[in-house]
Amino acid sequence: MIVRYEPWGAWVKLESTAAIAAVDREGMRSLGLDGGKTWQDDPREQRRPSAPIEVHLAVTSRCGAGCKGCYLDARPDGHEPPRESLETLLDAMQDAGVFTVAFGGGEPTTRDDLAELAGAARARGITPVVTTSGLGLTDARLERLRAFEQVNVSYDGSSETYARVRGFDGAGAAERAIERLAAAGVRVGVNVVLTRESFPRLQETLERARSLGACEAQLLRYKPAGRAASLDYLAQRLTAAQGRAFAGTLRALSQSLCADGSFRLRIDCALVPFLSTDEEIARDPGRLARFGVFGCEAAGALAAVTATGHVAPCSFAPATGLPAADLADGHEQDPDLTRWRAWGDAPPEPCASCPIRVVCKGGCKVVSSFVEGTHGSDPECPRVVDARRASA
Amino acid sequence: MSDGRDAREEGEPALLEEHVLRVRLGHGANCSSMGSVIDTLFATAVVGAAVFAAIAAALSKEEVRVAGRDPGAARTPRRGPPSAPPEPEDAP
Repeated sequence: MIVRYEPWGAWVKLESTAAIAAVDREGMRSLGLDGGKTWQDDPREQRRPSAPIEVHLAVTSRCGAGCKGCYLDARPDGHEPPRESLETLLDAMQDAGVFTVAFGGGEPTTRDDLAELAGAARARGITPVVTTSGLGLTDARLERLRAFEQVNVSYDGSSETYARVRGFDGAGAAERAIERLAAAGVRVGVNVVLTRESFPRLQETLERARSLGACEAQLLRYKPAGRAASLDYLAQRLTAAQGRAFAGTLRALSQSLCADGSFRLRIDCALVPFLSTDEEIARDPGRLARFGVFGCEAAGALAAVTATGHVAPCSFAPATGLPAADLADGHEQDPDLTRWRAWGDAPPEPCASCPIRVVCKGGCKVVSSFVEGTHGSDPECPRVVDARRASA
Repeated sequence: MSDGRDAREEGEPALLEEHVLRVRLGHGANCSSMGSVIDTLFATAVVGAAVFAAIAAALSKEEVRVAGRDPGAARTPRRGPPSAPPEPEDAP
């Protein structure tokens, strides 16, 4: 296992099972381990990770798919950093104690050296994973993907649904990619973007993905960044009713698809606000934390690195001036990253009294910035909507 | 980079799991936003307890490497039974 000491104990990445655990000081001591000078400070002073646990690395901004909502605005002539530069960034991640690096872009499989980059991450103790559209998945590209711990294919649903989300029908290519990767023994999951069009078909989409060999689905909130930062966002985002139905939908999907443990369901950080009004979760909000659910961890447990080598709070947020090569030393001090973290430490109402505030951290700031022009409470959170309605 | 197994021969996973504050399962492969396994949240208490027990057992067995620039961390002998775990709001 790989241990990263924190003032309150340690983050531990297990190697015999795919999991990361937070263990307090006493637990670590019972294992015969000690955090040394990291534990000299008051453990209550800093609860957030000292550096990112996970980094999303844009290994290219080249992509020919042309998805209408691409958060990176990736294009066929995008920038592609040389391998040596990326390996330098992996050095910086190793220094920072990063556990997982998710390669993205752009379409990562367009790189001929993708397997070598995955190997470079592993050599530094970092688990490499990757997202692909599955378009143009040649045999050679598939071989390169074997180097990854997991490959996620973007798959929003069958032809019509996929086309409504992305602007073209790539469902067949995605389905073939899922099937071929699974047949090749690669651990494969799907990323499903939730829009008001794809949400009603979610059960069908996930059943299809599972039948093709996917072992996991990650549900992603549609976010207004890149090409999606347009008025079309307002027509694509989940409706208020869908947001309120989200927790119940998750519960039903978990029971119908995950009962035997062969298929996992994940949600992304930006979907956590939609759990805020669920009565069962509100009765035991600590359960969210215990089961490792992360809300907005931008500039905290998460960092993104752009294709030009700069750190961003997350993949959807503007890049800071911090060179990624300085991640280990600069993550805590960078003023832009500090500003992102600070809001979640002391949010105003209605977030201040929210039972899931510690996990949610106010919801998606990319959404609040786009919709309201402020770095504030997520305006699409049902609890925020209710509070504003009550005070109007 | 060292093996802490010797110091943990007397480890008791049943106690250790009370000191596991959070468990994040899997290595989600999305490159744009941070994902968390959610189905365990809706599973029975038995399933949830089994997850923590499995993690505690793995913690007691795996060899230890320290990530990042070594902050002076060291192994120490076991100092007796762990104290009560922190409240949920104190979790990282």
